[in-house]
Amino acid sequence: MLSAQSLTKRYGVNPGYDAVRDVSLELQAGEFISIIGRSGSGKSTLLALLGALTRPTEGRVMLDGTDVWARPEAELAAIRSRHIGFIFQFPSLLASLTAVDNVAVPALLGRTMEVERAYQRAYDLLARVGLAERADAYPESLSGGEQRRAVIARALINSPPLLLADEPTSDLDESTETEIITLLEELQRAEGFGFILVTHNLQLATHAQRVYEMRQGALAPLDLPDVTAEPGYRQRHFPFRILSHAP
Amino acid sequence: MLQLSPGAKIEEVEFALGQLPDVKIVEGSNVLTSSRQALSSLLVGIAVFTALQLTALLILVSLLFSAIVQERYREVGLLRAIGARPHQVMTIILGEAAIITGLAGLAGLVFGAGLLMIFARSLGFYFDLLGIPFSWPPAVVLQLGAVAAVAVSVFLGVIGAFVPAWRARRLAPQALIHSGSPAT
Repeated sequence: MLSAQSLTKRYGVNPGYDAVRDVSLELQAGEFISIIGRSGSGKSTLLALLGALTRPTEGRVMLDGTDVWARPEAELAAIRSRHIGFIFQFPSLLASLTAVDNVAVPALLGRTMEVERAYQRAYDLLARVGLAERADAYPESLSGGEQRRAVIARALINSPPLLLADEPTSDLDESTETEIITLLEELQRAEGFGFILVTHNLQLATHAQRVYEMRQGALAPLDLPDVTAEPGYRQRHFPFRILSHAP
Repeated sequence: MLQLSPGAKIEEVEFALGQLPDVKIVEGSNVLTSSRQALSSLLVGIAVFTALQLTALLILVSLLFSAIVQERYREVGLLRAIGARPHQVMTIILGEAAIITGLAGLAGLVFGAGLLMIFARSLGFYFDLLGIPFSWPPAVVLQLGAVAAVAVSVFLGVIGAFVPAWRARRLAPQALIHSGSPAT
């Protein structure tokens, strides 16, 4: 479904800085993979490349056989709207809209369904993420976890076959973090979308079918069960969040 | 009624007209003539000043909307990331500019109408004493003037916001998101 081929993202010139270096990745329909790595390792940039949010300096992003960046901008917008759901690492609800309006916006912008149906689905999705009672609340009155749930509902409004989550729990406490990931997993099983999770948290990453590690812009598969069993591995490689989960 | 030969003098014309029954000769006062000339010069001055002011306003509106749009880059980036088309972004920004400057135009219209009424009751009254009555232009002229004033305001807003909107349209969503202020 999604195929990233030799992606490189370079900032600046002579010589410039490669935030992502020659990354290739395949994601099948309904598959769940996670990417871990330190801050500044290029995880978010890679996810932005996969989500058609920034153009690669080199390489291609193929979505269902279509070279995404070969399409004109109007079609790119349609791809973002219909094929990709994106969950950002920062609060990303529009402050002037209620939760249900925020959830309905992608359907209204992309004209993927009638207004009534968009709102009906928005209410349904909010109910599924546990926000039925908070549908008419504005973002400022929602907690961090509730905002993140609303963002998940928004990402799923157009039933995209691909969901990309960029550290969706980075600013949440541990129990809310687990709730959100559990919710995402349940939704993924129910909806069957392909799911790429970028996280600092190795424990959350292990929920995925495949785990990759990003280091200085390069992506490599992580054979988790073996390497993480090695004494001291976690602290050496993931001292940032793993410490709090270490037994 | 009166035929003038080449080289006829004003005094001769006055004398000839004075012979006619039911005709009264009134000479234009120097005060009135100089007032008319002063008002004509004032009108030209106002027209030039207005043109300069509109140019300055265009630059000001452009700078203002440039700042407003840049402040909202993250919001624009989010909209693009969730599927907004570039022309929708343009429409939103230009629409907001049109509404804001249109409302400002209406406010200016009310303010201008107030000034005109004050003028009618003060300077107009003074001219009335000098024999120059203050008369309002026909209603249709006033209405067209009002519509034109608001239309010019909207036009200035749309033109001023066009460049920032075009710039935002051309940036990739990721660049917009990372260069903007938080959305919430």
